[in-house]
Amino acid sequence: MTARPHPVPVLAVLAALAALTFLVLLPLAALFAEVLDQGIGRALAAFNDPESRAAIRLTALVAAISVPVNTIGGLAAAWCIARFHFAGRGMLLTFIELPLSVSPVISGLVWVLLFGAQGWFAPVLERLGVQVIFATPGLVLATLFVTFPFVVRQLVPLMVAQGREEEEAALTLGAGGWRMFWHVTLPNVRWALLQGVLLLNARAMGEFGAVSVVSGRIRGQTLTMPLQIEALYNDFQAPAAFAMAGLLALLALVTLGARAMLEWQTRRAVDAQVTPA
Amino acid sequence: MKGSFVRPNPLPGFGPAFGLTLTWVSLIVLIPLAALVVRPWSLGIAGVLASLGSPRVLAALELSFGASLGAAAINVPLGLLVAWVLVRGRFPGRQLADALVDLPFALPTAVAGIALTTLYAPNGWIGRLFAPFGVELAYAVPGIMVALVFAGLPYVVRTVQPVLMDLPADVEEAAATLGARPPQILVRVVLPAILPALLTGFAMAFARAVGEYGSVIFIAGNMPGLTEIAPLLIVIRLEQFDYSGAAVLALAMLALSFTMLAAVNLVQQLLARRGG
Amino acid sequence: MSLALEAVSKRFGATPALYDIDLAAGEGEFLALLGPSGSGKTTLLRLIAGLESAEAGRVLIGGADMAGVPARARGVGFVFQHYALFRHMTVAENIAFGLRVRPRARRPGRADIRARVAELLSLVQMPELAGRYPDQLSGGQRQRVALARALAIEPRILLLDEPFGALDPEVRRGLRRWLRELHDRTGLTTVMVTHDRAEALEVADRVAILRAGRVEQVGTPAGLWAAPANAFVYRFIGDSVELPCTVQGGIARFGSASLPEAPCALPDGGAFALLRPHEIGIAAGGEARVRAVAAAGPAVRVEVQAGEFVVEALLPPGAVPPSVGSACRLDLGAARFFPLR
Repeated sequence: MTARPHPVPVLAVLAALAALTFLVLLPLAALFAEVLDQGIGRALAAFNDPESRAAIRLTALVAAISVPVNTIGGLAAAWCIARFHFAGRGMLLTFIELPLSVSPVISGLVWVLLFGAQGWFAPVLERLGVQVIFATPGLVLATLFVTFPFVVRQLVPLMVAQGREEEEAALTLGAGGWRMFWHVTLPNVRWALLQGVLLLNARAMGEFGAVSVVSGRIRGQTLTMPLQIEALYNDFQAPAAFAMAGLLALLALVTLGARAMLEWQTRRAVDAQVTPA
Repeated sequence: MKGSFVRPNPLPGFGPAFGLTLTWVSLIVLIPLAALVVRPWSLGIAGVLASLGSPRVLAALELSFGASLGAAAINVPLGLLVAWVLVRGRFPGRQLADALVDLPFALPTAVAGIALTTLYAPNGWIGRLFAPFGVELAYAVPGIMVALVFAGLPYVVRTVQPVLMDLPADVEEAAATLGARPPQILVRVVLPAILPALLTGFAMAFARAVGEYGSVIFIAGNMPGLTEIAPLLIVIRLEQFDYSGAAVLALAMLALSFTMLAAVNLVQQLLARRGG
Repeated sequence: MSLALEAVSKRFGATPALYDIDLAAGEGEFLALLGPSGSGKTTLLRLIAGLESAEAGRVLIGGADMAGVPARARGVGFVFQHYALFRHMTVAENIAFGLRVRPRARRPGRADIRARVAELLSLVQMPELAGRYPDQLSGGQRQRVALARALAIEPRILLLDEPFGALDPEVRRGLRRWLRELHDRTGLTTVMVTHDRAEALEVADRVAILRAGRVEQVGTPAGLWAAPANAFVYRFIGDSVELPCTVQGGIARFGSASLPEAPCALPDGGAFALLRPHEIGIAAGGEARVRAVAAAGPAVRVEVQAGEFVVEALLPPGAVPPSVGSACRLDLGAARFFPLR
């Protein structure tokens, strides 16, 4: 590290810290203060409520489906985009990143347009007796859409930076496709992949807008944890809402902590590649 | 098809991986978005225009895009300040402050919504400071702005930060040896280098703000025509089973957002060309 | 095992990379592919390994056509320019990789693998570094691990892509000698890509000189030096001085009174002469003038102003350097003439 020419004025540091305090730190503190105000015991009791438990279970289920689907899809897409040159490569990447610039509400709306009461596939679904919207499948689909790009965005830049020489080396040494993938490709991206999976999971569990559109808000059935927070809050059961919000905030904090550690690992992996010893 | 479509490559697995990818993208992203693009026209052109022309829709769009532009505009200097302090500052707790920046990324929007509302409501820690003067933060436009600035801040910080980090100190030192004073260094040396990143951050913060739903509806008050954002109006139309009306508004929002983003892109390309 | 390329052509999109290459390396031969960057030498090496596919022509290893044989089945040891060591594996794991991924029927037992790794580690002279990770090694050490890894699969031929490209000159020289010794010991047919003429001429049995996707000349280092096929080869394999001239009736004239005429077998027209600096003789008295003398080093470097040209000559050690500013005469008897194109 070279010495920095201009030290940052104390005033600027204070201003930046004040901004972070008012925008980020205080809201978080206020949230946890609300939880602690009511007492830990009472906050924990809120999770005994069957509806809250159903919400937690539903959230876990949605995440348990979305995370593997989008992880496997993301790996396949990253392999194509980072390792091959093909017509429409840029367009494919644009499509994959599209959900990032779409409002969560619209991410839910599109599924209603397909599977809702007046949707394209409504007649088919009715004949089959399957309900998608206002049911778990709709929640999963909306979550899949919203969390779609997370893994690809983590993997592609890293894989491009790493290059494909190691994989080619594995081939010349006699490895087949799967062995190359398991022994070379996957270990090389494991930290970035884990980081992507963590973010994907956090978003899957915390998504609000998209799932609120497809949920129909049936208590005990189609409310995920964020939706349950809203329901409780609007019902003037603020303490229970804060308890659940506190739980999700903890998940976010843990995710950020783990991510910071993984980022450090990834940076090490890239540095080791780029700078010769 | 493989011969011309994909450049020959000894690595295996393109066929299956590409097939899987295409299926995945089509099922989860392309087909649903196609439904969104097609649906509004079931109303006919006149119907679409009528649906968009209602005062409530116009007010919601104006609020969403106006507040988002405002929030993104606040995020740019604020994010630059935070990024600069994080990159160049040496103070205890810098790493913690750095980690805090990502919180709006990771915190579920509903949680952010009730946390911000609690803080800025008239009886909240901050809201109570303003209440005696009759200034309402929560349940009014300032509250919406706070939520949007919160959501957009990490985008600006995280796009500017790496560029600031890569900005070699010797360029500034060189400018200083050539007799430039600190403000001149900032304006003539530093700003031009980070302008593209600032623009990207602005665009990302704006896009996020326009679509933001969860945190805003808690703090907004949601009065039709006053504090009702466009995404909420989409939800309301859906609840009335007005699918086409909801799709019209959604498509309009996307079209406006992409136009904005394309404009920012264009400015960036012009900047890049000027910069050689 | 022998290697042969027959009429191999390759293009990337619309740009041709290799034209109609014919090249062969005999059993146990060390062949260098020498050329400037962009000459197609790395592409040629990757073609042999099966990492690129040719549009036309055949690659034969041990007489067998490699068409349709994937990289992993060619039995080719490839050492990548940037080594491509598996960063998450130790040195020993890197070397063992090629043995561990063999199909079960041909896979050696654990003990055999361990023994083979130990043997290779001692061959590349780094037995104590088995447990290190690639990022804990110096460039030269990584190079040797990459070589050991390639040798572990008992390849039929060994391919080296700029093996010393990323190393500093001191390390390069040592490794060069070591590589040649290793080759002599293993007797493996080896093809090495390099852009460094000293490297190619010192290490290889034969050198193929490539330019813009074509083989310009193939020969032993001594043969190339003695009889370069064209001006490109002449310039590429050693320092040269170039003087334009006009040929008329078997006499080349340089258009300057201070340069002597010389006999030339080319037809009438524009041409140029190429000389090695040490082949230029300097005698006292004449129209040319000594501009500068640098007497440090093994040879004396003399800069002569001859008309509009500045000619640099090397005098043998022990020669008495002329004084700066003195009049002199150049002897261009060793010049080779090439027609202007």
